[in-house]
Amino acid sequence: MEYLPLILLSGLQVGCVYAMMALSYFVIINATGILNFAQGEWMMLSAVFGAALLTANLPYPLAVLCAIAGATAVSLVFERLIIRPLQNRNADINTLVVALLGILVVTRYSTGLIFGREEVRLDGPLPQAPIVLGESLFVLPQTLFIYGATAATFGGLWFFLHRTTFGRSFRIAAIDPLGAQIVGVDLGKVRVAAFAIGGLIAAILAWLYGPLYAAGYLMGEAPGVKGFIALIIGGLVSPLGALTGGLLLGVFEVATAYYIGSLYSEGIAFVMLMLFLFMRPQGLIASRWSAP
Amino acid sequence: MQRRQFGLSALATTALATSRTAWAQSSDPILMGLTFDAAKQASYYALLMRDATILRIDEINAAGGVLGRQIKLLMEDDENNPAIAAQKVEKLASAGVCFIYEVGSSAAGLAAQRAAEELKVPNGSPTNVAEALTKPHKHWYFRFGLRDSIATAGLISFLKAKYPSPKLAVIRDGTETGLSVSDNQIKFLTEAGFNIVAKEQISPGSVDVTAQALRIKAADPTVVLVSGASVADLTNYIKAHKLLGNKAPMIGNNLFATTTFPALAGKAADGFMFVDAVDMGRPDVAAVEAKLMAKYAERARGSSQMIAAYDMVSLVVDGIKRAGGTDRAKLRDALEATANFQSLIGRGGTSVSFSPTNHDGITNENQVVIRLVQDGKYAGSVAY
Repeated sequence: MEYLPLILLSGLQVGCVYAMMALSYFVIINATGILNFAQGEWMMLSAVFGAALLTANLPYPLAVLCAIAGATAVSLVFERLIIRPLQNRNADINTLVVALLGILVVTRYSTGLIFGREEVRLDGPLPQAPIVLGESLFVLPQTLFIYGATAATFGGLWFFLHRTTFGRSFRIAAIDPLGAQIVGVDLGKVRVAAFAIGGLIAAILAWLYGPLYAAGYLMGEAPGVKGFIALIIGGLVSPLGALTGGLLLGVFEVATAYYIGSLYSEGIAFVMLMLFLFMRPQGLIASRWSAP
Repeated sequence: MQRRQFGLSALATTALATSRTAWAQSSDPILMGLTFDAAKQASYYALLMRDATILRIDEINAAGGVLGRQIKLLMEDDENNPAIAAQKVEKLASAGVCFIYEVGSSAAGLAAQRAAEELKVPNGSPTNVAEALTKPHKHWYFRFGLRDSIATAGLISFLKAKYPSPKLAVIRDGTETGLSVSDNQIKFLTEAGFNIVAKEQISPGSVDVTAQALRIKAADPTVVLVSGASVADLTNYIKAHKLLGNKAPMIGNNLFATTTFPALAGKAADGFMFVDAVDMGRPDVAAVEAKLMAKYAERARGSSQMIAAYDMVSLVVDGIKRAGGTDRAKLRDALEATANFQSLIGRGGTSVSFSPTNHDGITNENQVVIRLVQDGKYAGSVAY
């Protein structure tokens, strides 16, 4: 039990990463009905852009802002050039799935081609020395940054959805698209906003996950898969589902690795996914956000 | 008269055609093939080796080529996919290459080798370690560097010399190649009687490996073997190991010869050791490293993989010279007859010799190099 607090802190850190990725899926699924597989790639792009800008000696805050803006912009370009024309032509779901997979592959491997395939270091904004909290307990400043940024992102989305006019339109469109159109909500704008917000969240995530790992063209894969599993566990209908699912998955993974053995921790996410799909397919949080 | 004139002109035409053919044969480039991973998981080292191969061929061409002919390198992306690697070997064989370098992953290399064996094309790799590439013996395949069992035998010699009766912990990444590499190492270490007190694994792309580092710390090992194929995942462990105050020294496989490792790991890599095939401290190796860096800048710093790829071109060219041409069977025979080729690989300089029963460049564990990382950069090799 000596290391339980440290395991919990680690699990919550991992969970925050999964929750952020789940949130980026959630925003797009709810507003458009599309599961955008490429969300992990926007995170990757932000990290790779950022590493390149930092190598070019751009000041840190400017590099972060440019990288996040650049990755979000790319996500919007794909929405404009590929997703929107397909939806306007009422393309069936299979066509959309193939198109989204195509976006993922093109983004991933063209980034490798342009920026190189070797993983590079991506520093966080805070010092790396741990903050010692006890004999067997410490926390990295980057971990605190991850907790704070996750809380701020979920809080910011809540504010947008509940306290702004456009956010309310967003929620109406998610609950009843036809009804939303009747009362004058522009579904096209909602779709663009969804891709922008989803891309933005993924791009911000790069600066939480990247400093713990590395920046490289394959880095979007693992958080992309785990974020999706977290969303299934938490439930597809509320941001709280993304948060709950992410944190639960993160803590379970780290606790399994410590108490049972890391040889089994890889499978725990998929075991949880199967259990939820069979026993509670609606996820932990099944109630949709209330109407505005 | 007319018949005589016709006969003369036919003779002249035949003579001209023959001389043209002969001229064409002597001036046509020597075709060599290279399969590599252009964009997938093995690309970070495959591209380094591809570039080193290109540089060496450019040098040879600039110096007049081989047997008066220039070398032309045909390159094919194996997409890190064994099935595609085999297809690409068939394509290169159809194009008429006399030798195929395989610089991708061992998995793709195994498939490429099988195809080349069937097509009777000499082929080989500078750094692939998979045991099955040369065991059982392959007629057309030549490995320049280390194979798994030799690398691990070198590691075992080093461990026995430095740490009597060590308790060993193993940390590995969960990528397919990582599991394959580490399984082999664990097998050889167990057979050698090592006491493995902990075996932990990192899921690819893991955010946090505190749990693994805590379990290894609790096992109180003498040494930690860091084994696998994913630099970023294993670097994460190296950081956590230091952060948790685990004092056990760490030693890795040849994966850590990738040039970005010291920068990725930072101070956490100080004192980290890893198994390799090239002693970067040797003056002749340093001279080649300087040439590679002049062309490829920092990418080439400390890259033993580039050195091995560069040197393997010299080995094959030496074979072509001794074969007197590019006939595949003659080249295979010439390569097999290689004796005391003064190479850049191995500890203290290894002369490479092949034989009808051995196609491995390094055959002795004493030739295995243990390299060291210090102050954020590669810092020569460890004496043992």
